[in-house]
Amino acid sequence: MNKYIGHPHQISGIEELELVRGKGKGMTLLEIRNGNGLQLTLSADRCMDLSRVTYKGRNMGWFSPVGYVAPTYYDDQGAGFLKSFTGGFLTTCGLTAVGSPCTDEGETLPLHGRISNTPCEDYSYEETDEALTVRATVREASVFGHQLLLHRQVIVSKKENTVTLLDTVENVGAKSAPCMLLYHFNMGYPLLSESAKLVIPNHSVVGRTPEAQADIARALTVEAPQADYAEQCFYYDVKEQDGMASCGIYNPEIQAGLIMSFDKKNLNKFTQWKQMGEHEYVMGLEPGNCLPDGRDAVRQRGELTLLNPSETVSFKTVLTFTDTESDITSL
Amino acid sequence: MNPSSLTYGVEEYRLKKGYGKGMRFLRLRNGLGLELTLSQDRCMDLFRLAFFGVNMGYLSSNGVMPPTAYSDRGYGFTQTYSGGFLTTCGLSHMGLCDGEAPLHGRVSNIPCEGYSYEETETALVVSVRVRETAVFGEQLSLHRKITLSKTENVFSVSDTIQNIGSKATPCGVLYNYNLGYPFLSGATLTFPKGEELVLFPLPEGGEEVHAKQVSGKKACCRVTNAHLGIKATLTFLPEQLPYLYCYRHGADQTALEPANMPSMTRGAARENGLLKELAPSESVTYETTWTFQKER
Repeated sequence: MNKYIGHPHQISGIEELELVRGKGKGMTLLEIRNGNGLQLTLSADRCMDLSRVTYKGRNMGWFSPVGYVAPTYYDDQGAGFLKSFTGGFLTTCGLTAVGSPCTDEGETLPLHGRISNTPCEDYSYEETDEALTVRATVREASVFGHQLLLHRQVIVSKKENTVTLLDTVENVGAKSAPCMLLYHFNMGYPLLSESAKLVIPNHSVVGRTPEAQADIARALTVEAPQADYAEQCFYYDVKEQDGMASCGIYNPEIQAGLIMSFDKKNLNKFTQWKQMGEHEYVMGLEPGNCLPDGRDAVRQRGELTLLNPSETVSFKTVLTFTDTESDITSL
Repeated sequence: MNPSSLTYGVEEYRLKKGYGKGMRFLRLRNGLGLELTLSQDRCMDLFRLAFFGVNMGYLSSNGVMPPTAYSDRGYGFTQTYSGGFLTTCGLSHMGLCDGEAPLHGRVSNIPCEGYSYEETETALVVSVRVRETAVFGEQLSLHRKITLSKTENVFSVSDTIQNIGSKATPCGVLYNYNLGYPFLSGATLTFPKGEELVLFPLPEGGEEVHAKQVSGKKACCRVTNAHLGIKATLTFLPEQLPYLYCYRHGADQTALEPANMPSMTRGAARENGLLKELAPSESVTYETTWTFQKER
C-alpha cells in the first residue's frame, strides 16, 4: 500500500457512474484513472466505447454536438446514426456493417452499423498493481439474421500511459456472417488544432473522392475550423513493424500527443477522416478490417470478412500517450 | 444548460457501486485544466479536484461515504469523513465534540436541496441550499455558490449562512481544505505572514497543528510544488475568517483551514467568550478562493 494516500481512489481506480440528466440519462459510465495522468470514460451502454480521454488534464477526443445519447434513442434507418453519434474518443463501427448505408444481399444496412448503440450485456473490471482492466461482451443479434458476439478488453496500464484494446468477434449464430469492424478514433481540440502534427507513415495513400484526391498533398495538414467544410477521407496502406502499424498526432501547444498502433494482420485498412468544420472539428484515425464504403462495395471488391459458425477473429490496438514530440515525429 | 460540451461544462453523475451507491456528483471542467467533482449529497463539498490531471486533494481511508451512514455521536464524524478537497465543518459547530455538539458539526453530512447551474461567458456557477435544522434545535440555512472561472484557473466558494429560526444560534464554520498526494509530495506552504513550512515528508504518526490568527485586508496561503510546477493559492478575508489552521495527520494529509472562530468544544468556546452566534434572521457570508498556476 502507498502510505502517502488514504484510499486507493485518491489517485487511481475505476468508478462506476450513472448519468443523471439529458439524453444520456441512465447511462452507465466507467471512469478510469491510471494515476499517471491518463483518465478515460468508458460508456457501458454504448459498446464500452471511450466517450472521453484526457491526458494530464488535456482533452484528447472530439465530443460531438449531440453529446451523450442513450442507446434507446438510436435510429437505425439510413444515416440516423448521426443523431446519436457522440464521437467521443472512440466509436466502434460494425459488426455486420461499416460506412455508407446500403442494401447488401437483401439486408438494409445503416451507417456505421449498430454496435456502438448497443449496451454491453455484461461487464466486469479488476485492478492489479500493473493495470486496470475492463472486460465486456456486446451482442449484435437478430432473429433469422446474424448473431455476433464482441468480447472486449480495455487494459489501462498504471505503469505507463498506454491503453490496450483487445477485441474478439465470435460468430455465435448457425450460419456464416459478415464481420466488419472499424475503430472510429476521433481526435479533437485541444489535441487537434492548426498547430497539431499528424504522422501516418505509409506505403500508399488515395483520396476517397476526386476532391480528396486533388487535395492529397494537404491530407496531413490540420487547418483551423472552417464554416461549410466538406469532409475528406484518405485511405492508407500504413507501414508496419513487427506486424504493428503505427500513426501519431502531437500538438506542441499542449505538449501532448499519442501514438496509435494496431495489429495489421486483421486491421489491414486505415481511413483518415478529415473534418475541419466549425464545431464539427475532428480528425478520425480509423484502423479497420474494411474501408467505410458500405458492405455492398466492400463485398464487390472481395474485401469482406466472413465468419463461419463458432469462428472468431481478434483485433488489437495500443494507444500510447506522451509529452515528447519526437515520439511522434520519429515514427 | 450545456451538460456535455467538448472541453468545459457540467455533468451530473450518480455512483453505481459501493457504500456511496446512489450518491450524486457534479463534475465541472473549466477547459483550462481545472476539474472539480462536487458532492451533492454532502453539502456540495469538493470530493475531488484535479489540475492538469494531477490529484490535489486527500481521500481518506473511508473513500466515498453516504450521509445516511453518519452518526453525530462522539467521533461518528470520522466514520464518514472522506476528506476530499473540501469538507465543510459547521454550521452550528466546527470544532471538537462535547456532550453538546458533535465533532466538526453536521453540515458535511447533509444533502443539498437541489441545485441550479448557470454558465456565463466567463464562469460556471453552481448555487445550492443546505439546511442544518432540528426541531427545538438550530435552524440554519446555508446558501452556497461555487464559481469556476472559464478564463483562469480560479474557483471560489461563497457561503451565506442565515439563522432561519427564532432564537440566537451558535454559528461555527471551518473550511477543511485538504491537500494530498501527489500534489503534496515535495510541496512547501507559505503562510499569510510569509513564514514557510515544508509539507513533505509529513510527521511520522500522530498529528501536528499550526494555529494562526490572521489580520489585514486579505490573507493568502500558497502551496508550491516545484517538481510538478504547480502553485495553489488560497485567499480569504480575515475580517470573515480570522483563524487559520494547518492540520497535518499521518503520512498522507495536510489541511489548510480558515475558520470563523477558534477550533475547540462548544462548551469551551462559550466559557471563553469565543462563541459566535447569529440572531434570528441574521446572516453572515464567508468567501474562500483558490487560484492554481502551472509553469510549462
